[in-house]
Order: sequence, then structure tokens, then C-alpha cells
Amino acid sequence: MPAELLQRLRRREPAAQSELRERYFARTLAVCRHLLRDAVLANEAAEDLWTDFLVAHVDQIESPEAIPAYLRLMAVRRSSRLRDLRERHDELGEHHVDPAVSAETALADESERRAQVNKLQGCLSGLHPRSRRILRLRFHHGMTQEQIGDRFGISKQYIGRVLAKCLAALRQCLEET
Amino acid sequence: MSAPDLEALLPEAFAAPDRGRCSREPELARYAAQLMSSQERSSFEPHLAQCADCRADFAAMGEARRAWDEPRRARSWRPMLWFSPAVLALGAAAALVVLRPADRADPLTAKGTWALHVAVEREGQVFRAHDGVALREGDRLGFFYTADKPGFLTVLYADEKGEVVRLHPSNDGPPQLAEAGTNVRIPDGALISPGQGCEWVIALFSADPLAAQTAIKDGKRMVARRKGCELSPQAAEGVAVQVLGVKR
Repeated sequence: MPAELLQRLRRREPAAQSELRERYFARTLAVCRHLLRDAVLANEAAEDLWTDFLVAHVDQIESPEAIPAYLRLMAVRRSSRLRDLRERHDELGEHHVDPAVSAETALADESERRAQVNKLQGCLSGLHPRSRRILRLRFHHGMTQEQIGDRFGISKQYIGRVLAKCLAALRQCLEET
Repeated sequence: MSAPDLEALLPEAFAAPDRGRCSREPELARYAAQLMSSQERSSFEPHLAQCADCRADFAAMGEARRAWDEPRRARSWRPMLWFSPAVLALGAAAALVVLRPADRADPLTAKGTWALHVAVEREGQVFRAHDGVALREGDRLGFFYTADKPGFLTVLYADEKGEVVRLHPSNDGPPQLAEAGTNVRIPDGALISPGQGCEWVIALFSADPLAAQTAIKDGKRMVARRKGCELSPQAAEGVAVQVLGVKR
């Protein structure tokens, strides 16, 4: 692992991000697949954690040698957590509240908010995976429409239309459920 | 819910599912990669001994070591059905990448009680296929279904010339009951050989077993009646049909 790669990743250089992907994405995906045993879910988990790493976690890494182990750890954490959630979801049905989260949000108004978030998560799962990724980049990572467009190789106007449609669909879903 | 409310909730809805776990990941990663000095190690090990999150993650990292070291061996779709090149050998075609609207409804997601999902593996990456997906030679297809009641699932692959092959059940095997479930993987897949023009994945789901010949006849009839690349789902009563268009 070249020492300057971490510095370039911290500067968010696209060429460095591509280089990292070339080196480690297939391995990260393989770990997700190994743990989740579901190619579609694993792919989404790997893409999501990859974005999280490039956008935020890369600043926590102290040395370039730690990058592979950190990515493996992220893949393990994300996949095992998703697997546990899926198993609990299968057991308890759609509208259960995660006990780990509900313990943190014991206050009544917080519980109400948590219920709304759970409902919203249910609505999000009905969207196309790529729509979900676009929403995630916009609302979780705070990226602009232009930055998202660059990532997908499409125009910011198109991203704007997708976002508007998704928000309308989510609002309708929330009203229906 | 008003617009600001929804937009305020979205970041929370997207919060990483591993949020709330021990936040000493950078140290754990360095420990696992054996990058810590003996002093750092002796200060981190007591934490590892008492932190259930870190212990579980450390164990899982070891378990996933092989998948990380040998990603090519960690395929999740086995066995694959390999197309006979004769079936889809329609001449070499340049790979065509078509960007589709991201919010377009996946036509294989049924309104009713079942859906077929098609996953594509290309150069070690996997993505979900949507209608109009551009496939290249060497792409591998994997199939998953979601059904709220058991039934019989047949998956066909058709080309413009009216050649129709049955991908699932593979070979001449008898119809197999598909149990109810979510994202259930079916054991058959496909390797895409050279081709051009329009092709289709056709899924037929029925309460009663569907003979291979009947399914293939239905597929051929649909191809014969197509308008351009648009294939209208048609089949006998009691058979639900879904079509996913493929561009080559």
C-alpha cells in the first residue's frame, strides 16, 4: 500500500478512490457475501460501506497499512449487523422496533420519532436500490446533486428529478401506511 | 408528513445499521492487522477482553479471512448453468452501456404476490438488473424470487430470433415447487454469450406445475408478437408472467 494513497484519499482524489476500489472492493464484497449469503443484499451493503469509508471513515485511519483491515472490519460489522436485523425482522415481523435503539430512545417523543423512522425505512426498502443510493448520498452524506451526478455519470438535473420523485413516493407511502 | 419533516428523518433512516456499536474500530483494525506496538497492544487488550462488540467483530474478521484473501472463491451462486454457445451465439456485439432511470419500477417486481429479481455479476461486482439492462458477454445472471405462497417458477431466456431456453428448472428436470419466502435464491443461473439486439428474461409463476414445452411455447408466442423490443406478457390462465428486457 503506497504511503501517499491515504493522503490522496483524504483529499478525496477520484483517482485515489478508483485505485482503492480496484485493490479492495472485490474483497470487501466477498466478505459481505460470505456473511450475508445474499448477493443482492451483499452488494448493497458493500456499496454503502464503501461510500461511508470514502466520505467519512477515511479520516479516522492513521496509517495506510491499516486500510485493508479497516475495510474488512467494516464489511464484517455491517454484514453481521444486517444479518442480525434480518433474522430479528423475520422473527418479529415488519414493525418491530430495534431493542438496542429503543433502549437509547426511551423517552416518549423519541419513541414516536423512532416509529416514524422505522416506517420510513420500510418505505425506503420498496424503492429501487439505485434510488436508495441516490437518496443516501444526498441525505446521509450531504452530497450535492452535482456530486451525485458525477458519481453515477449522469446530469444533476436528472438526479434532481429522481430525488423529487423519490420524495413524493416516500410521502405517499408514509401516508398510506 | 410535511417536506421538512421527511427530509429531517431521512438522515436518521439512513444511519449505518452498525451505529451504536463500539467506536474503537481504528484500534481494532490495527490490532487485527498486527500493526500495534507492544505497548499499544497491552493497553488495547483489556478493552478487547471486556467489549462484546469488539470480540464478536474480531472473531468474525477471522472467519471472513478466507473470503477476503480469496474473493474469487467466495461466489454465492452455485451451481451456474452455462449456456451452450450455440443457443445464444448471435454474432459478436459491442458492449452497450445504457443508463436507465434510477427510479424506474423494476418490472420483475410484481404488484401481486410474487416477484423475480435478477442479479448480474460482472467482473467481480454484482448489481441488480432492471428492465432494459445492457448485458455483455461473460456476465453471469443469478435469480432470486419473493413469493408469499408456494408455486412453480419457470425462468426462460429468449432472443429476437425466437430461440427460447429454459434456465430454471435447468435441463429437462421436472417442475419444482418454489416455497414461499423473500429473496430466495434459485440454484440455476446463466452465463451470457455473445449476442446482439433485444433479449428477454421471462418468468412464469403458476400454482400448478408448468411443463417445459408449454412454457417454451408461451415464450416463443410472446417473442413472435413483440413490438420492437417490447414483449407483452401473455400466458395461459393462472400463469403470472413477468418480462425483463435485455439490450445487447
